Amino acid sequence: MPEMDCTEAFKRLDDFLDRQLTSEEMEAVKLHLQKCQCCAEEFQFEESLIRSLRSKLAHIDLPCDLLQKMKNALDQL
Amino acid sequence: MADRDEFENLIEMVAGTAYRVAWNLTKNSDDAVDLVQDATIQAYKGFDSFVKGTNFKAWFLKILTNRYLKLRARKSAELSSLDEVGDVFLYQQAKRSGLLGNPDDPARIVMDGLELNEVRAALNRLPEEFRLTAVMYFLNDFSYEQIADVLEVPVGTVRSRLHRGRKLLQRALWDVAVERGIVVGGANA
Repeated sequence: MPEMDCTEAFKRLDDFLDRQLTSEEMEAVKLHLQKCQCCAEEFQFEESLIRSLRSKLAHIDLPCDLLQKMKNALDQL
Repeated sequence: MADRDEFENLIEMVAGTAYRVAWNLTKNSDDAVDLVQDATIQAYKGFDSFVKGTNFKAWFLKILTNRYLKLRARKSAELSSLDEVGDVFLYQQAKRSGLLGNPDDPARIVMDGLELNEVRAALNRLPEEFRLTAVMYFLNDFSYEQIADVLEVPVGTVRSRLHRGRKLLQRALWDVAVERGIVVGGANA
């Protein structure tokens, strides 16, 4: 695959972060990020943001009786 | 009737995820529990159609999402003022605000300053189709294909909704961060 420029790398940002690219494309983007500090900074920011959002949204306390309520719902049948 | 013991073993494994997804869809705990209970009943009724060995969590969330869509009161889209948002919006705003010179992770500076309810408020500002996709994306380790299966849309639709949803969410998060005084605002998309 030919060397990737900033525009081509940026087009693949979401798919790169979500590992939706072919292995060849993944390598090409990685190679570009090793050479381009600006793009590397952008990609790192986006990756960190997704990680932080996932971590934040995962911290939802479950009701202690949730499972029992699910099972009780089955008793209505 | 389906094997109840087997079904109960399976729902034990998905209860947490189901509740978190339901909580983000319905926007409050009581409605989330109601939705999870309703989905549990529907899933049990249809348990004979579940193919053993396939992904029960995805199957259950598909039922839960469909029940939500069926039961919810329709609301108009909330995000007309956020229609046009540039790429990597939050990054660009952080750059303009000088956050990128900070030795700490700038994305975390923004996110750590926001309470869970504020992140949810930002998520809730997304139009429904983007919000549903974003909830599935951020709360699960699902691939695009699995999200497409749960939401019953093509993979390409998941990809485009996620791309757009991320941009909209970044704009909404930034607005909340500015309102909270976590960052200094003023720059526009």
